[in-house]
Amino acid sequence: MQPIPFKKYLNNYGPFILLLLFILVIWESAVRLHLIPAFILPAPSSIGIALIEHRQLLRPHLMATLQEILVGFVLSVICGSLLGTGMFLFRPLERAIYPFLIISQTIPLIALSPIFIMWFGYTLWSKVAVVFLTAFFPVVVSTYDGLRTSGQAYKDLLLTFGANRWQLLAKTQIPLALPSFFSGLKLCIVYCVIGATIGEWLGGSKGLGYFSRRMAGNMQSAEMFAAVFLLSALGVVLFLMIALLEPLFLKKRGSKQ
Amino acid sequence: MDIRQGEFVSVIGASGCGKSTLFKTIAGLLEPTHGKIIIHSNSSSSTRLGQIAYMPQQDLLLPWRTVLDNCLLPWEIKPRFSKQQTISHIREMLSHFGLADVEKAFPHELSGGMKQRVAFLRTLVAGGGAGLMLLDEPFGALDAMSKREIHRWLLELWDELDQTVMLITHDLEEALLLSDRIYLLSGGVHSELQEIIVDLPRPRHYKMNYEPRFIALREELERRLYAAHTF
Repeated sequence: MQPIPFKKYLNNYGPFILLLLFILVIWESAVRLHLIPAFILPAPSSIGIALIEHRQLLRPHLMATLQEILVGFVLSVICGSLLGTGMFLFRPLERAIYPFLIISQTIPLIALSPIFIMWFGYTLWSKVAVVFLTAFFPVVVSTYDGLRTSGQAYKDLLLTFGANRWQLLAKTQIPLALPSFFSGLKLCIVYCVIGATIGEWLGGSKGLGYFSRRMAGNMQSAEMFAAVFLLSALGVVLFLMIALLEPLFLKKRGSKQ
Repeated sequence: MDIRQGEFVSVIGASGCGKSTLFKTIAGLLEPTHGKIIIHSNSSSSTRLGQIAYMPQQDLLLPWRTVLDNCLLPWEIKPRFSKQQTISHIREMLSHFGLADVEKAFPHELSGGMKQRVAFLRTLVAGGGAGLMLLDEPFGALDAMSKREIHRWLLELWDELDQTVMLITHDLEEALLLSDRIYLLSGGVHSELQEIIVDLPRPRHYKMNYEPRFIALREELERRLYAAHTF
C-alpha cells in the first residue's frame, strides 16, 4: 500500500477535526462562563484531567469491559456465522429459525436482566450473555444475506463443472459473501460495546459501564464522562481494527473496479 | 433436434421461447418435463452435469482471481490431469488465444472481448467428457467491434478446436458465419422447429458476410423468422 499524502488526510479528516475543535471550544467556554453547571456537563478539560487522575482506577475497569466485549464478540461471530451458513444451506432451518432471530431482537434486554443475573450470577457470563444477544444478530443476517448474493448464475456455472455443495460454498459463495460479512462484523463490534455497557449497568462490580454508573450516582460527572469517553474510544478502536483487517481478507486488488 | 459430432449448430428464436431453458436442460441443470436428451446413447440428467461445457452470457469470471486462476477453476473442482499438466495446457491455450500477456491480470483489467475469450477458454478447460459445448449468447453483451474481432478469432481457431458446439444467438450474421446448421425455435403452443442448413464452405473467413450466397441465406433466414412470428 502506498502512503497517503498529508494533504489527502487533511482533506478527508480536516472538516471533522475542525468541527470537533469548534464544539470543544464552545463547550469549554460555556462551562467556564457558568452558563452550564459543571455537575450537569463537565468541561472537556476536567474530563481530560479526570481521565489522567484516575488512570490507575480506570485501567482494570477498561480491561474487564474489553474482556466481556472480546468474549462476546468471538462467540457472536462463531455462532452467528455458523447459524447464517446453516440457514443458507438448509432451507427448513432458515424457515424454522428466522422468526426466532427476529423475536430475540425484539425482547427488551433490560427486562431480561434479572433472569440473566439469576442464571449466570454477577459473573463475566451474565455480561457476555447480554453482549451475545445484542451482537450476534448482525452476524447471522450479514452472513446469510452475503451468501445469497452469489446468485444462481455462478451456481449454475460451477454445477456444470461438476461441483458439489461444499465446492460451491468454498469457491464462490464464501468469497462473494465476505464484503457483507465484514459489514456485519463492524456492526457487531459496535453492538458488543453497547451490550457490555448495558450488562454492567444491570449488575456487576467492575467494568466501565459499572464505573460510570457509580460515578453518576456520586454526581462525579467528570469521572462518569471519562468512562463514557473511554467506552466510545474503545468502540472506535475496535471498529477500526476490523476495518483495517477487511482489505487483507478481501484481496482488494481483485474486487476493486 | 439432433447434433452430430464436430458440428456447429446455432439456435435462434424470440426472447422467452425457451432457448436458455433448452440449454440448461441439456447441461443437466434442469430436468425435462417431457422428451428426452440423449448424449452418446445416455439419457440420465444427473450424469450429464459436469460432462457438458456450458458458457452463459455473463463472463462470470471471479474478480479476485487472475486469468490463469480463473481458468484453473474447473480443474480445482474436477481434476482430470495433474496440476502441472493443466497449467501448461492452459498456458498454451492462452498464448493461442492471444492472452499470454494477461495471464496474471485480474478480470477488471481486461476489455470485454478479452474477458469473453477467457471465459471461453475456461469453458474449454472444463471441456466435459461428452465433448459438447453450449454457448448461451456468449457474445451478446459485446459491442459490434469486439464481437467482430471475436468472430474473426473464433473462425481462425475453429478447425483446431475440434469441438461440438451449440450456440444461442440473436445475431443472424453471427449464426450464419459460424454455424453448419441453424435451428429456428418459435415459442408458444404451435411450437415448431425449423432447420436451415448453412452451405457456406469451410474454412470460413470473417469477411464472408459480403458474399452473395451469405446475403441470400440471411434474407431467407430473416423471412422465415418473420413467418414464424406472424401467428
